Amino acid sequence: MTPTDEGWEALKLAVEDALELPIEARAAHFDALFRDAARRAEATRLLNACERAAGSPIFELPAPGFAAPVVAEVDRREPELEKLRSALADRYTIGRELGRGGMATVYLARDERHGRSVALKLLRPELVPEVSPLGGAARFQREIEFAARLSHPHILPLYDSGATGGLLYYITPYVDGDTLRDRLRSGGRPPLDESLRLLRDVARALAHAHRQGVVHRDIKPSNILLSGEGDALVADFGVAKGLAAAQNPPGESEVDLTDGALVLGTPAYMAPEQVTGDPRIDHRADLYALGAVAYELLAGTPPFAGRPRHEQLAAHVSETPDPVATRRPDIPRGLADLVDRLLAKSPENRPRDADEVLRLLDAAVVHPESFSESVATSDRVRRPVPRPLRHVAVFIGLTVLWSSTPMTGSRSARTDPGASAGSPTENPATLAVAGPGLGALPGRARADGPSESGTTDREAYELFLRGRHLLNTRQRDGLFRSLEYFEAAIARDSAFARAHAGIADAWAFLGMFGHAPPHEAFPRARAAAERAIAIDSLLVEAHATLAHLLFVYEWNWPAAEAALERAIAIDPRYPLLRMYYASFLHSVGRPDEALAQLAAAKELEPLTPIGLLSGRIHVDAGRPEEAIPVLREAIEIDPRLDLAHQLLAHAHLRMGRGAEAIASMRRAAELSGARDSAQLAYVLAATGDTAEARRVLERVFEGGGPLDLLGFHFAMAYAGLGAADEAFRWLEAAYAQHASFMNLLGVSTGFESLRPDPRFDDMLRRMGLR
Amino acid sequence: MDLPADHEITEALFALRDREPAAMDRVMELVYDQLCRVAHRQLDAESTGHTLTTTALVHEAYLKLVDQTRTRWQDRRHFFAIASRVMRRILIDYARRHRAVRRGGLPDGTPPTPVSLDEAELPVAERAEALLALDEALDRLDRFDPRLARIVECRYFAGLTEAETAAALGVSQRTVAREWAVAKGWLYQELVRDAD
Repeated sequence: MTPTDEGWEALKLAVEDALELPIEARAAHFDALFRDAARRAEATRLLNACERAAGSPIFELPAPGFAAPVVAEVDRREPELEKLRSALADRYTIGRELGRGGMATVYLARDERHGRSVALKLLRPELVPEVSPLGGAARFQREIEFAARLSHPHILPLYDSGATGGLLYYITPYVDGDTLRDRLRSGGRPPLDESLRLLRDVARALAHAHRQGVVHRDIKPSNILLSGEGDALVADFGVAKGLAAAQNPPGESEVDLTDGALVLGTPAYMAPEQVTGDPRIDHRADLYALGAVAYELLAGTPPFAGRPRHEQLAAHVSETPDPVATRRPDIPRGLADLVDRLLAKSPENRPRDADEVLRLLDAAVVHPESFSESVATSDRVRRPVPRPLRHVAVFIGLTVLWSSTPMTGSRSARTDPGASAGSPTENPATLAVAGPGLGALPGRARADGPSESGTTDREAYELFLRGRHLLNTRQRDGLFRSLEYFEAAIARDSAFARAHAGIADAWAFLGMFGHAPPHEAFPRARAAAERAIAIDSLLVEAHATLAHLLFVYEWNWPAAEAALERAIAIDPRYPLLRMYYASFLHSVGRPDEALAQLAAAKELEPLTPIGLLSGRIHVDAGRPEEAIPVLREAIEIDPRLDLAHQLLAHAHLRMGRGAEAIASMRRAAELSGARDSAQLAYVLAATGDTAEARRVLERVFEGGGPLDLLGFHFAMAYAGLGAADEAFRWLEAAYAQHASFMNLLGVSTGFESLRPDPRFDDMLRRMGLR
Repeated sequence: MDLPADHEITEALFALRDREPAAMDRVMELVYDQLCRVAHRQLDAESTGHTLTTTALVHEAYLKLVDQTRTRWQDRRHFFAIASRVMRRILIDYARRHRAVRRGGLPDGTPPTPVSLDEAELPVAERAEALLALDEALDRLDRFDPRLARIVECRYFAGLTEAETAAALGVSQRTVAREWAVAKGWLYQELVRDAD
């Protein structure tokens, strides 16, 4: 019966009335009401069901009575939960069951100490044998403690874990959202851009965890949580490894298929070496699982789906899955290749690590092979960039900008012009990732005409994208080559504003990173930005670049502030602009306003890497204790962020921790070379080791190079050594060059000994900072 | 692990008065534990031969959990209606857990034990499956006749009397009696169809 509203009401009323009539009068009642025989039959069926239901055991007692034996049996077989309830009574109130998987049952619980909702995961007791004083539980806990130290935007943190009466549990935040498994079940295969974003999130989580020496071993859709914002969070790091450790004394092979068939991990996503219990299993097992998840996201099912468990396990070891391109011919070839490589049987044939996976993901989606004919149509070119991908772009852009070493090594750029012949696909996600690229993520939808910000020339657009991609390498050669691509794009379409903006960015970066003399690079950047703005007066990326160079190079503070405000008026939702503004405000000695802009950037885009800049502001404002945690977090996310180590050193120094300051600055110097070697000399001098400070400086001078551009840092070193004349010589050199970092002279730590000197004030006045 | 703070439930009930949708979930979370104990008390009563009405237990939960000095009759009615929903969820959770415990490691998709409704003594596993099937049928019923679904929750899952159900839902006792009879019939029909 599928009752329609009005039909059901009439039927219900008829049956209710009939039930109050004597049995012999009921048929006549229906006859009178319903002319249609089918309706009469329906009413009679329901009436009979009502009669039978009254005598059915299910309705004999209210449900608590009917269910009593069920409750009793569950309680008998789940005594552990009651044990846990009383053992944890002071700490956690255990509520309803949220779900259960192969390894654990998850309960909603309340953390009484902190007054928050958490998820309590109770491991299945049969998985944890207590064999010795240092039994399974202890090994599990030791393993999971490593995982508890992970802190990353895409990793679900582990709050707590414990063992009581042979029961193991751990506590994570309660995330009120679906898992990827739920998402796939309810929504089917996600759109390509969403899949790419999820894969990226998971790869970033893996990259971080692997660097900390933590492997997951059970990457699968039900371990990937989706936050309200659509970000992916990887749950249960360390759990599978911990369970394996709990079951097997150290040194022995971790799984034994012949034994109890108790294989940890999930058959559909398990790496071959995990199936066979290879003791040399490492982080690349996670990459295989990531490949299986990617396969499912793209093809709709994992590689060997639909077979019994043991056959799936065998297939992982011995069978090559259908290449994902045969299941999904419309995806970029680079992406299909990546998924197939992740699923390689031998770990050696997979990408080396998750960082490489990230690079390949990037390369796959910007690679020209993946372009279709449809790119040429203007509506596709100017398709508004989906928000989630924009944030990927801004993240790359910002990290590039605020650090001087690559976030994930240098990106390999494929620029073979012949490559565009292959595998045409319609792939908007490609445009979305490649389009905005470095620092360009206009928040407004581009409904304006093709002559303003985009181009109708397909080849010009392709050239532009390649330029953008090369811009992200931030290497000297890449930046110069990106200029060639942008110029080639402009040669085809001189009104292509975004290509002009690309030229502006390329020159600005060449100047900022010391690859070209500032007085050559910045004026060119300015001219190109102005050209872009002349074509598209609302092109926010060009306005941003212009405003930035107005203060970092031209030291034209009022003009810079006006330009920043104008740009924000054009697009108030552009996080990079807020970073620029914060940097400006800090330079002119308005730290609190600067921090407010950073907060705004974070609000707009939670992944905006504001750590470095907020660390700098706190250090310079004399609050080193507040700088330390944010800088540590920035380093956690990217251990190669040289400026974060540098600033951490200053924070330690301000707190009187000389040894830590020196250690951090040594790390910065290893990463950045001459610049932070000069800063190391400063830290050494400031901690009293003037001899070593001078030795460090001499070694830098022996290395040669364009040291004028590093005048700011050498001046700091000499300021630390108390050699004011030397310091001012270097400052004058940097002043003459309008070198990087000089915009910070008014506020930066490190120049304390020079500040009383009239020459210092004089320089600030000349720079417009007094 | 004991009772959630009284004032939280009381406040949540007030919010419900103001028709805040989130308040319903909040009250449900808060009374879940207490009502879990109700389910156990029922069990003890069964095994010792005493007959304890669920109503008495829900009422007891109400007295324990809610600050009487600040509430009105309307709040009490809300509480009973909500408690009935929570009882449904508790029992269905038990049925799911039963399925999981019994199946051990069997993968999802293993067909459930067929339900037979007319044997005098239902095995435990069939009871659990019958409850799950009934829960699904009740969801379907909810879509076209929500009042009927609420009556089933009060009468069946919380074991409220006709009079209490009528009070909790703000309908006449006669309506409860008539609708409960048809609801049982409709659900029975659905369960038999499922079992075929």
